[in-house]
Amino acid sequence: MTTMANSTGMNAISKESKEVNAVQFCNVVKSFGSTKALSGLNLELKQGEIHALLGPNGAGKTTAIGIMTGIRKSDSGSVSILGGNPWDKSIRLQMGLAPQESGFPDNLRVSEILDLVKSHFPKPMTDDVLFARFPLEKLKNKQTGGLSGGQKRLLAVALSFIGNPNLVFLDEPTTGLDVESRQNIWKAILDYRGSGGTVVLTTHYLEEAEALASRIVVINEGKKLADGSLEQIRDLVGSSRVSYRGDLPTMLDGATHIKQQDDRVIIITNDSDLVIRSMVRNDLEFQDLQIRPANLEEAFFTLLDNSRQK
Amino acid sequence: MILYQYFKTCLLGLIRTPSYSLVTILVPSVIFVIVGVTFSDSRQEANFALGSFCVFSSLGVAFFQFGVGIANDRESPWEQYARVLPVHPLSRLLATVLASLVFVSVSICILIVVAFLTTDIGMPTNSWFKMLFGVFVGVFPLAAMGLTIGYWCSPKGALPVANLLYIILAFLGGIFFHPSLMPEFMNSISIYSPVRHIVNLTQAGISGEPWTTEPFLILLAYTILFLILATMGYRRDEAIKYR
Repeated sequence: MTTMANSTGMNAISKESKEVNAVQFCNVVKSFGSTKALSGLNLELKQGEIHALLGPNGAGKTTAIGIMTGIRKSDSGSVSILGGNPWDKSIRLQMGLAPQESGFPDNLRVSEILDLVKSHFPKPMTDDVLFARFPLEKLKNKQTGGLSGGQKRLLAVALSFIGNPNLVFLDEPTTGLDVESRQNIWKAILDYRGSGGTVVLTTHYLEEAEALASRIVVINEGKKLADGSLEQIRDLVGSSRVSYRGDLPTMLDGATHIKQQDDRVIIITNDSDLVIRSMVRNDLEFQDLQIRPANLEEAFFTLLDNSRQK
Repeated sequence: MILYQYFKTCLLGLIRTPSYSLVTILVPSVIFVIVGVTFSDSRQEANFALGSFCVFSSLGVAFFQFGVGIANDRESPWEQYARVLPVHPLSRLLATVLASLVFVSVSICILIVVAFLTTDIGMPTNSWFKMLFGVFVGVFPLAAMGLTIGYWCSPKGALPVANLLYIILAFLGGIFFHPSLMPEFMNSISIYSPVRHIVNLTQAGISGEPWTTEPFLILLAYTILFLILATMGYRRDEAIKYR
């Protein structure tokens, strides 16, 4: 990899610093009273990728982001962000954050907030680049108290990129946004990755992870359930989805997950041929058979179901 | 640059909340017209009243901007976001202090104009400087008290607490009328009020009495005491919120 620098003024990332993991969690534990938010989380998130942390509500995603950004401290375990402590200024200069709950001082204008946050960084984004990526120019002179929820979200995400950081944390970046704003944010995230940046995002839209992420970490109950590329996560539980109307089998050769959904039986598998053959062999009644590749959502819920059954 | 940006946004935020800024700036002048003027039969008494009401201005800003403002900010999502930005919390605090000083200065300038219009004030230039210096020294313990309110009170609790202390300290400190006019027991408590010492400092400045080191040391002790309390409150808050 060569040194990166492009028209947006992205900070140069040398080959050596590229080899340091963006996020390294080793057996991180975090409790709130009697509730365990993280129970020995291990993460190794490489630079230059878009990592999606997936998990149901209460899985520990936001706590994990809190520890990564230095807002919270872990009870035990080691944490390294870009090879350093997230509360060191040198590391903070290299990172951006859009928290899940964004709020701004009501009576400041958008441009004033942008200028304030910019002033923290040595080489912030120019207005041209900023407004090209985020449609905020028309809102520039508006006080943030008058922004819609979606506009506030857009501003929060824009602020996370404004310092031209190496690493950006986005906690549910598009929750509550209309389709157009979501597309804008997705495009900005992909542009940023194209210029060599690293993103760690949490989302509960699997569609979002599918559209953006190059690496996926599934978290449940404060622990890592699985990680890998989109394809790997899918293959882990089965890359095909077989569905039909008819008998619900309890067991079937080749099936990794079987469930009834409305009037259809859904089977997730790595080998759809084997599944069909055993359906025939077992004399199952079936009509309206469909076979298609499994999507992330199906893989995700299968993983969660299997972990609960264990 | 960061400092300037925080100073600017802090000031703009305050100015654009006129219910806050106008009240804070004008209340000392309004009460001066109602109360101060009646106690200003002689020129020197009017001068003393002006000095006391200048202290009243800084008391208001310290309690309502610092006290109530910080208690409210503590809970805001913006504040939590700002913690991740590469800036030292003390730089941000300094910007807030500077913005408050602007407020105090404006409030005092208006007060002086009002005093000129309604009473027969007048003193040598030297006394003006010494009076204002006394007020300036008083800003430090008052700001430290404001910080203590800000870091120990909940957003809902801060306003009533600040209001109560504002009134009590103003009366005890002899801002509205001289403590010697108070009942004896109040006068004896008044000795312990930091506001009384600041008021005494301004009055000594106005009358040209030589300053002793005692009130400065007492005010320094109050400043340190309340800074320690504020720091404890800050740490306690951090421990709850960001553990």
